[in-house]
Amino acid sequence: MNPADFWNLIVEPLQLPFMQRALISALLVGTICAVTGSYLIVRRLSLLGDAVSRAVMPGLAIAFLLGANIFVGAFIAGVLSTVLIGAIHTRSKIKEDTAMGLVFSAFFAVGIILITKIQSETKVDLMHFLFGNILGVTEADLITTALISGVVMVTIAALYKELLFHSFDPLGAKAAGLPTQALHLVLMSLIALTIVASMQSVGVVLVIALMVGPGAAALLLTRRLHAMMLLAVAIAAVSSVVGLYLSYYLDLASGPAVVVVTSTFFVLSLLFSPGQGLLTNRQKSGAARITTPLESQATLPGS
Amino acid sequence: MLSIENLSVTYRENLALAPTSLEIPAGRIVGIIGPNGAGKSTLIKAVLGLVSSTGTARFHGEPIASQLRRLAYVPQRTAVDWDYPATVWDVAMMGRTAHLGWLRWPTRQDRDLVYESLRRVGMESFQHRQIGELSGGQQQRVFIARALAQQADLLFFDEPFVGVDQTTEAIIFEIFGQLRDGGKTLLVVNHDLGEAINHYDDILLLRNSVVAYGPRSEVFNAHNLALAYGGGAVAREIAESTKIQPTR
Repeated sequence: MNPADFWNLIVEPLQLPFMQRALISALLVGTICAVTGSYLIVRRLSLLGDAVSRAVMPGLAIAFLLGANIFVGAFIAGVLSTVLIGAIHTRSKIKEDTAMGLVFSAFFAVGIILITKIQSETKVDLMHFLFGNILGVTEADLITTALISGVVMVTIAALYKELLFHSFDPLGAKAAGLPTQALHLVLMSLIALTIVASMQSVGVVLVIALMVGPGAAALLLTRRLHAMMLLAVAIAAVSSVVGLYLSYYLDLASGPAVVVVTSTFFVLSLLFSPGQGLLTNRQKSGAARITTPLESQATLPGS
Repeated sequence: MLSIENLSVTYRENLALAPTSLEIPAGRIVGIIGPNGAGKSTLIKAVLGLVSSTGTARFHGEPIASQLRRLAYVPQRTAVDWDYPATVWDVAMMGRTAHLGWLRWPTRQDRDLVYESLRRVGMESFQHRQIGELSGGQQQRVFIARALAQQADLLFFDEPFVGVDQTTEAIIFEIFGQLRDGGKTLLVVNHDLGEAINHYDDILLLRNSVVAYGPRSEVFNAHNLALAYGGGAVAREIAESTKIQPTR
């Protein structure tokens, strides 16, 4: 293939307005997913992110029925689900993982019932919310996504040092006088906003992959939170572009194509990270910290 | 002066700390000791407002909640995830977060203070290390540096000597001494009753309520230890290891 042909391969999709919108949307969504997802990873809240992503469904449906903004409805349901999960596990014997399982599946079920009802009367498509429809992003959607992205990024930049302390050592942050409950609520709201902005492009089922995939790959390659976030954004951006081109030329579902590329980056990072890769880290110097499953098996008595 | 009045904590209908009243003067290192589950950590968490409690805690007559900028808390080392993507510098700088205030970034003074804090615990040459690459003792020293960077007058340490090397232990006691001599008040939860006891000015013996509190020489005796730990093997072992004559 000569360079001119290659150039055509790159440029051709960009001449289609729906592909332009899809690319911009994917880059915006990839950026905020990578940043808020980094907090999910370091706070060990990835499952909560998954729970919130399903829990937005009934809010979306109810808002549609009321003729309100579906993004607002979805956001309210997402935040409400985190509050409910917190209330259940702090006020009863039920632990957080069980509370998440209960709340998100109940919300999800109600959401599906409502949307299938609406679906039979209007042209709303359940599958679009579940798996996204990035090629159908309208200009209005794009403006909403851009606004949400702006709010998320400005908030994180403004609260960076407080969120850093809080996410590393919540007790220490509280003892130092930081309003940790408010910070937690802000973080949960940012996560709900991120999910709401991502519904259109990847859908609620796969958004968690965009949130934790780039961050997890970046965590293995960096040693500071802001570096992890920047690298995660870069990985998410490349994944979005590559995923969309693959989807265009190979006729693949676009959201899942982006997710597969993201996951590939994670596997590469897991295997080949200079300091911590499974294949590049046979002997670790200094404090013995990382034990791969293979190594720990090897030390079992009798093996 | 830290004044604790009728402070008590109940966990799911279990009384973890019976109503406790104490007056702790400035310029003292107070060792909080007692058996497992005696409410040692619970006491300091209740004072700091980290667990819900009844009663009050005041520092120089003001409610603790309004004095948080003047105190520092070093949690148990195991309370945080040391794989967190942060360097030694980042963690020590967290000590400045609350003082800086919203939307403000560290100034030259903050950076100098953090460097000086790291130097005092002997960790300045590790400032670019990721915290997971440190030994347990080094991690504890980073936590101590963070507390120093807070420039607090009242400091709480929860089991600072668990899993640390002797160098670290010596450094920590040296810093405790410097802080005490500077008029600070230190409350240190410690379950190890060996030689370390001699570094404390006062001892607070706990067993869900105050068994004894006062200068080490008056409080740390076999009678009180038997009250705190029971009269059995544990108390005999402690008496043996700390060279106290058992009660007849």
